Amino acid sequence: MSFRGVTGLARVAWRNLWRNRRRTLIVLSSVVVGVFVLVLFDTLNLGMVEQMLDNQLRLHIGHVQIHRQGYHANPAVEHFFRKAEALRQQVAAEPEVRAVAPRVLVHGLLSSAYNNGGVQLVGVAPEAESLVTFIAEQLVAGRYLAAEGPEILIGERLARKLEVRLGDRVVAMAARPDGQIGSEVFRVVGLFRTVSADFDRTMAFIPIDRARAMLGLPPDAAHELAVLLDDVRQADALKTRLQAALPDTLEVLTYRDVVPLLVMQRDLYAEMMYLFYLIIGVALIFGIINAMLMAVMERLPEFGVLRAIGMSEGRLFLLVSLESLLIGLLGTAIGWALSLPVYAYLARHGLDLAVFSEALAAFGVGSVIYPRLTFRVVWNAWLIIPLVAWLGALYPAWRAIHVEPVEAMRAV
Amino acid sequence: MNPNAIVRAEQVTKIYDEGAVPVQALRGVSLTIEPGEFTVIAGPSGSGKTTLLNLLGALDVPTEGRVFFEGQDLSTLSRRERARLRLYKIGFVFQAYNLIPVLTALENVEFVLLLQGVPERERRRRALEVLEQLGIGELAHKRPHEMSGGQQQRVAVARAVVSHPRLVLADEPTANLDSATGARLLDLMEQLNRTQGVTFVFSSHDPQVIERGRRLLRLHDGRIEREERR
Repeated sequence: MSFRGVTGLARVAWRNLWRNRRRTLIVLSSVVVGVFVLVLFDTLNLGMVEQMLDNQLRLHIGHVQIHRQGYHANPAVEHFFRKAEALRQQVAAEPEVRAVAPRVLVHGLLSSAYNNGGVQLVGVAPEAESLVTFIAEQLVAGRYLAAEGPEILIGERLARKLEVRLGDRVVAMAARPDGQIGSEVFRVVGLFRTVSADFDRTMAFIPIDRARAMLGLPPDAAHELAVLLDDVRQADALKTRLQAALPDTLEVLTYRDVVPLLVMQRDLYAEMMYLFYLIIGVALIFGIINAMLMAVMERLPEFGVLRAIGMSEGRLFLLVSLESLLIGLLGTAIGWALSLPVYAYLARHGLDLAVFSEALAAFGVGSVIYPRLTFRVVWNAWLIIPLVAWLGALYPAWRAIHVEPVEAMRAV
Repeated sequence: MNPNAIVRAEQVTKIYDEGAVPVQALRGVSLTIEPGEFTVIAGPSGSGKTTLLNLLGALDVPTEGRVFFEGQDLSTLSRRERARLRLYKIGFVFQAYNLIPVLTALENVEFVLLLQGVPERERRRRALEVLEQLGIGELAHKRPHEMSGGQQQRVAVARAVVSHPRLVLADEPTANLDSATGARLLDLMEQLNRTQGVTFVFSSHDPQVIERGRRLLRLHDGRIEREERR
């Protein structure tokens, strides 16, 4: 059937919709509410999982990391590389790179006068580190690290465990590459509180030169370069390029390589949205089947006449399913129109879930969630909801086309 | 046997087997409809008029016997093919008018052409032309509920003839109309028959329809009891 014919039928279908205005409005409003809820829920959910990942990446991991070959598999203190500053400059010169921070990393023990605990000691160049991660902005007490001096930043939770306050001294101990134990006294200059409770319990930051001295490393040594990009999506491209450019003794990893579970978790959360679509879709489809079936049953004689004057089964089927499809499309359009201002507001101001912030902190999410609209959300709503509406018309349309013209005409 | 025959029924029998007792609506009816006829199938209720009309109109298939439309055996056609035959070759006028309520008079007439795939501009032109011819051009933009029964039935006639079918079947077309309105409707159909050679077959027990038929078939208990030509 020609497109012209379809538009002609669509016009008839459209008018048929409004024969029972109230019924159509009820079905339509259920579609509108469904789309409204889906769009907001999907964008918020996506915003949350992206934020969760982004928080983890901006907290410590960065978008790309460079180590000595084999460090990722076995992060031992002796697996450092040299000429860290030259390498940092080389990487920083890449166009998509926003900042690069060198780090010395070692697992060790932190002791106060009252208690002790295992920590990940991170030797950082304070200036560079503050450009790559936002640890400097997470302080709840004290100040950020200065470039030199025996200073340490620890999490609020760790401070509580060690029963230390600002200005108190702690002793750090860690194994050196030469097999000795290195140790040094640090003064607590700042306390941080991040979205991740785990991070706050286990991370301790010290100036990188102090870390090298304590571990007996050469002054140009580092275990890691953490790289922040303008756009996280450039990570793979940069990895490929750096791998080619850098010597084989170095390994280049993207965040996917470093925290694959986190990436999987994000993808899983996104996938779980389809379950939500399914639930909404099932709820909608029964309303649609019911309404369309009523609309069909009360018009059986009319369908008989249409069949009598020569309308084919295919076209009659099309007519009925178009009615439902039109409700689906119209409802989706209205649902979108209503959800967009709300989305825009939330995208600007965020949705404050302070009530749940303890629970969210455990997931590494901030308490304010910003929805995120992607093409996938647009596609999902515009494809799935009208499709559901159309599916809901299949059985009613099947009933319509199985009308016998003779029977129907006898009934009128 | 006339090779020009539009439709020919051969010893058709129709048994409705739906209730507890099978009902034999037709018992071996044979007839031929030729171009230009203005034929009335008359008979009391239950005599089988509508059943016969449905068989001639490819709406139903006989239990026994065969119906040929333009020489083609209807029993060999699929539902789809029969729908197509009705669309292109047969016009229907029903007792209850049966216009599509959401469409205007013009759109109702156009609808058949829409189904035939006629381009919009042409179908509009042809539909308007037919409405004008039938003297109901002023009804073009009215919906069925805004029209009287007589007006609706005229639109139904326009719908039946707009695509120049070989045969127009009218099942009790005047049954819901008062006699003056019914008479005007019959005038209209007679005029179409005379000036354009449209072939009409009516089923009716309305005396004024029976009076106008140039050929009259009296049906009784599923058999043709008597046939008159005038």
